[in-house]
Amino acid sequence: MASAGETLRVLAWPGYADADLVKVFEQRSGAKVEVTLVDSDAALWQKISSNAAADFDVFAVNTAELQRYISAALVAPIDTRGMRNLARQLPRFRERKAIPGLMYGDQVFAIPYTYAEMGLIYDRAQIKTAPQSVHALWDPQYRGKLLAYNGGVHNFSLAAQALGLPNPFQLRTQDWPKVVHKLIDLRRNVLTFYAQPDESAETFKSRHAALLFANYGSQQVQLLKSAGVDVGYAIPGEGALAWLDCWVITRGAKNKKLATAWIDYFLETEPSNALVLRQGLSNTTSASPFTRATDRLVWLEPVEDVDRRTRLWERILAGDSVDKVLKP
Amino acid sequence: MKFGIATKMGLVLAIVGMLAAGITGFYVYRASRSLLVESAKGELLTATQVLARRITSARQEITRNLRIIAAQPEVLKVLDAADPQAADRLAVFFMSVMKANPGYFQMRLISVKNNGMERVRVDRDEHALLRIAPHDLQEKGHYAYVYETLGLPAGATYLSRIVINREVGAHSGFGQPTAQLATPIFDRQGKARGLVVISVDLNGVFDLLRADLPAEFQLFFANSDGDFLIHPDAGKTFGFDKGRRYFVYDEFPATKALVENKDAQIVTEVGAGRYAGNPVVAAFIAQRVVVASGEPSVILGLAQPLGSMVKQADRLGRVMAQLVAGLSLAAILLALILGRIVTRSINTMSNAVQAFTGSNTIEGLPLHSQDEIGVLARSFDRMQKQIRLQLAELEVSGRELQQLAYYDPLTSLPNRRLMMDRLQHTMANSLRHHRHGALLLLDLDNFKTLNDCLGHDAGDQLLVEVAKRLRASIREADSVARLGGDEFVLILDDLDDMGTAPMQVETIAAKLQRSLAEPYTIEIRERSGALTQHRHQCTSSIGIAMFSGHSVPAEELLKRADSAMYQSKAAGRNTLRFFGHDGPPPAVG
Repeated sequence: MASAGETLRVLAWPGYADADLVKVFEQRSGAKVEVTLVDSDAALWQKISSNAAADFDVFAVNTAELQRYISAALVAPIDTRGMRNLARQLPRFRERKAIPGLMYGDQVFAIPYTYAEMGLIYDRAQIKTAPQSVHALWDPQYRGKLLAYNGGVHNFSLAAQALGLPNPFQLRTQDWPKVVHKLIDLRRNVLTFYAQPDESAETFKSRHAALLFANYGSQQVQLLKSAGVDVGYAIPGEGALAWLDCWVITRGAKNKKLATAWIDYFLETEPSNALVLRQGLSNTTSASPFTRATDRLVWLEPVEDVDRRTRLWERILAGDSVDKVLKP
Repeated sequence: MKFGIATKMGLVLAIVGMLAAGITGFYVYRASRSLLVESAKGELLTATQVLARRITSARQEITRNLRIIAAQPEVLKVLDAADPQAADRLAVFFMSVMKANPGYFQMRLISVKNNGMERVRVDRDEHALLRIAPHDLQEKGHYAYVYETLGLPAGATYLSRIVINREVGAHSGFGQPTAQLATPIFDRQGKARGLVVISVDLNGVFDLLRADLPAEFQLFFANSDGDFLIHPDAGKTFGFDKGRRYFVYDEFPATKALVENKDAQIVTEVGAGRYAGNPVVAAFIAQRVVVASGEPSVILGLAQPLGSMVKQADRLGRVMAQLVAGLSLAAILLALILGRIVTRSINTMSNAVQAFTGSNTIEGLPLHSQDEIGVLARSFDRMQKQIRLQLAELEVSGRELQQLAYYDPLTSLPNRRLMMDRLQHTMANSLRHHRHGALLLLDLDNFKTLNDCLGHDAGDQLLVEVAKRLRASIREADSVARLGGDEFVLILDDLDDMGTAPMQVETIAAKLQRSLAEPYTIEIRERSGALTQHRHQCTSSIGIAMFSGHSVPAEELLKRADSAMYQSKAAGRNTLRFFGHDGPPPAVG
């Protein structure tokens, strides 16, 4: 292959580019691959933006985060013509125009690779029929028996969904008091808010919780199942918030063909299965064991004001009243 | 380069001494070093246990304070909203407790009602204590320390997870490592009505603990998952709060056993990672939290640089090194002295033996020494005595040999060989000093007849007597010798000048003849064994050859005297003749 002797510089999350998979790609392409791992959105942004994306050829980023890379022109459009494996993707990922932020005009900026949805986990012993809506989180019958996630950005979107607002990622000025009120109601209904998956599973089990907003999705399902709790997993009718990680090519990529080949390779059966089996994540080429094709997934989008959501959320969490939360 | 015995012996002794001292020193140092490290490890573990007990007692003190507050009648009055002043009194009480306990961030009374609404709350704000106004009080029902405490029996204490306090509005406590300790409040009906909560400044607690520790000690504190809560590098603490976790077992692999509940305490040495180049010994204790808690256990650790542990051992090592150097020096000195002692005896003997060749005597041998050197000296002494004896014998036999070689054994007169030598000598002298001399050859007349009649013994007695008389008759400077048989030779030296010399010689010769002509007494042993005396008379014939200088060889001179002697015999015996003359001869030239 033409890329023999070249080096592909990859920036990825743990579990996205395991050594054995990388080796297969290296053997096929003849290129050498350097994988650098990141563990937070902030670290990813820092590494890509610090040298105008010149240090890496290809990286993985979620659709919400992706938008600022596109705005800063750190990523390049992808030429999908040679990518044979795109046809293997599930219909919801082939419809790239339907996923906000993937395309601008006719230009494709990202290829979906893996995703996780934030569904509702429920204890089958206490809840006989799967919850149909996010409203279940506000249901007084589960008061003190449900766990929500300690994260402002997602919780505001969740409350907006519950309120039936048109765009949960873009709150209008008039929406804020309603949403804050809704979140204070949530605070009063929950047992507690969790931060880590294992923490959530532990509390769910020890406190005999009935319902859980699964910020980490299927990972928490597996944790609870292995802890011996008989749980179900439901995607609410409003649609489950879901993050979607995509491969993107940097503006500074030295060999865009090689980077495209890398992305195409990770849509093959082996790497796709590795995501499910090793990471408990869903891939884009086979049906997820946790969701049905008809389930609605709401891909995360950049929100109107991360700082405001975070600041207000911290006040809500601390136990402040609506007035105090909404104070400037 | 050549080394003497003293050097060699000294070298060997010194090396042996130094090796012995060095090896002993090294092993003592090694053994004491590991002993010190072991005991220091024990001490470190003890120190950690003491710290753990102090944490426990700090916790117990908070529990006491919680119980005291819970017992205040104002508490229930506040919760019942029965007495409007009760909250104020309680707040004052909270303040007095917080004043006495600078490690308390916050004290609260929380109601079970209104989603866990705070009723009385005092916050520490920098150096001030702040009573929180009613409209700033918050709902805390969704916090674990609230709902967990409310599930506890009266008098029990709940210890929250130790986290960074993210409760907005917590003043000084905000963003700080905090633990919440709480106890439930029950009414007279046994119904849980609320709880009292004390927020403890974890850094404050640990600063107090750390204050008593030597500066080189490093303090570690971790939760049951192994997340660092206290670490010399503050950036590694509460990693779970920042999205990047730092585990105690990443830094101290042996603590994995504590996190996995396989062990309650460990002591480990670490020289990698953060401690590369500055290895530490660390003791860690996993302590179960005995009260109800979000933290099932905590891990407490103390690390001490290995270098400071072995400082004492190194000091000992330096003393050891000095001791070894001293001992080595002593060994060298001892070796030198010993070498000197041994070589002095040897040198004494060697000098004594060298003197022997000069004087034939050995003196100054260490004969009285009781050691091997003494034995050697005594052997030398015996040997030298033996040698001296043999030398003396050799001298005697040498003299005898000379006597045999140059003298006639019968008469003890010089023999022909010595006579010839003396003749040559005398002739040489006469040449040098222009003097005249004469050689006289004397033959006894009819000697053979005596031999034949009376035997050889009688002849020998006569010859001995003749020799005696000849010797007596000549001047001291003159020589007499026996040529063999009855022939004698006389050498006369230092005669008068040529004119008178022959006459002088003639006078001497005549005197000789007269002396010899005197009767002899010869003893004869008969067959019967009896001794008889015979009277015997005997004449002699003399031939004379005169000489002056070395004009003729000695042999020739002897022939001339012989020839003159035969002329004398031919002239009827008992006469004398000069060579070359019938009458009294002239001197020979």
